[in-house]
Amino acid sequence: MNVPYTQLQQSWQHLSQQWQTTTPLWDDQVRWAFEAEFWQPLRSQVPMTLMKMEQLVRVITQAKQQVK
Amino acid sequence: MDSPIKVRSVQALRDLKGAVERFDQESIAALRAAEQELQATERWLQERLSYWRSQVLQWEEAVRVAGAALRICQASASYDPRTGASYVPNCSAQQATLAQAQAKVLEAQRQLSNVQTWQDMVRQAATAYRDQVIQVTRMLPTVLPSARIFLGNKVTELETYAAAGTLSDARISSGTAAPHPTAGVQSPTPASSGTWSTPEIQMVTLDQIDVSTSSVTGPQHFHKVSPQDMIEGFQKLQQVVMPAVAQGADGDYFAHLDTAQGLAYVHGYQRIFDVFYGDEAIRLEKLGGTYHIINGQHRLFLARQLGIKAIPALVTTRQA
Repeated sequence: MNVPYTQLQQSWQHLSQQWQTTTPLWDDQVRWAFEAEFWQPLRSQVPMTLMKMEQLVRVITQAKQQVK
Repeated sequence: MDSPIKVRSVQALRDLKGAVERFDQESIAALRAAEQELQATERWLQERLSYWRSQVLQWEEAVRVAGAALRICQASASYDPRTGASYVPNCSAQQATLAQAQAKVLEAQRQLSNVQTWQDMVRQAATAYRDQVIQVTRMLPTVLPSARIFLGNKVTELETYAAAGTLSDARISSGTAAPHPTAGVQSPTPASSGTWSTPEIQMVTLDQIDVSTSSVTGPQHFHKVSPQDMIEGFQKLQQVVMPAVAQGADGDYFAHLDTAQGLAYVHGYQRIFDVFYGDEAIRLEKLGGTYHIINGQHRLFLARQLGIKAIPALVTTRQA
């Protein structure tokens, strides 16, 4: 589970950083519409998914260490 | 009145679009891989559970066998009344075997309990994770392609303005293109009395279309065709069909194109042509400067969601 988690986390980090880079350079109504329509759903759901996946990764790692 | 465009770097939008595309591909792949690994873990835990259950049974049987052997050994003790001698067998080996088997039972039970504990913990974490994945996978297939198309349209629009040298005070364009000669022609049903022009295909900016009467307000209203299928249709429309129609392509052209690419009608370009330029075209009535929807509410709703500025439609104009 570590590989998929890292892949999702890095991909999201890349997208977030690109968004942070873009927003100061794009400031019109279309950008606000884009943010409301597309960015907000991603920002609300993806970090939550990463958090749940991280918790699962931690539990699975411990299980593999503890279970014979 | 259209709002001004304030973009200081088109490249930043291109890079953002690239990041959206990358995330679109990698997020789905990561979630699939995670689910596969999770299922593998669940199978491994189930296998460990079965293994330790069998170990408990196996060592319990060993305890029974060792106990019986010990009782047989102990029963072999004897006393000779004639000589007064007694025989006490040495059962230490049987006792050791029994003790070892009993220890093995305890260990197997402990391991079985341990597996059950971790199986429960993984199950709880997996349930919480999968509930969240359901949420996110409902959203990603709609939002990411739409965002990509939205940004692609924006970049194309900005590049067009930049090429025209008007980026400094660019505004979203409005207006209509020339009628298309290959359009299917149908007679509209006027909403009110008056003289109506012959229907013709025009490019109509979405800002000019009155959507106040549209009953389509969200994905819940898409029943016949999914939003995802429609998004793919819009991609074909914008990337292939509209540019080709502008060069004079007609339905036969797209039929040949589908054949050349081995595309069935349902997945091909001819269908997109028919949907937007043929008998199934969006139909609008123009009254003054406003277009009223006769049909095509779903396509128009999604076009707005995708940030598309103009769309082909079969327009009938009411003459003054």
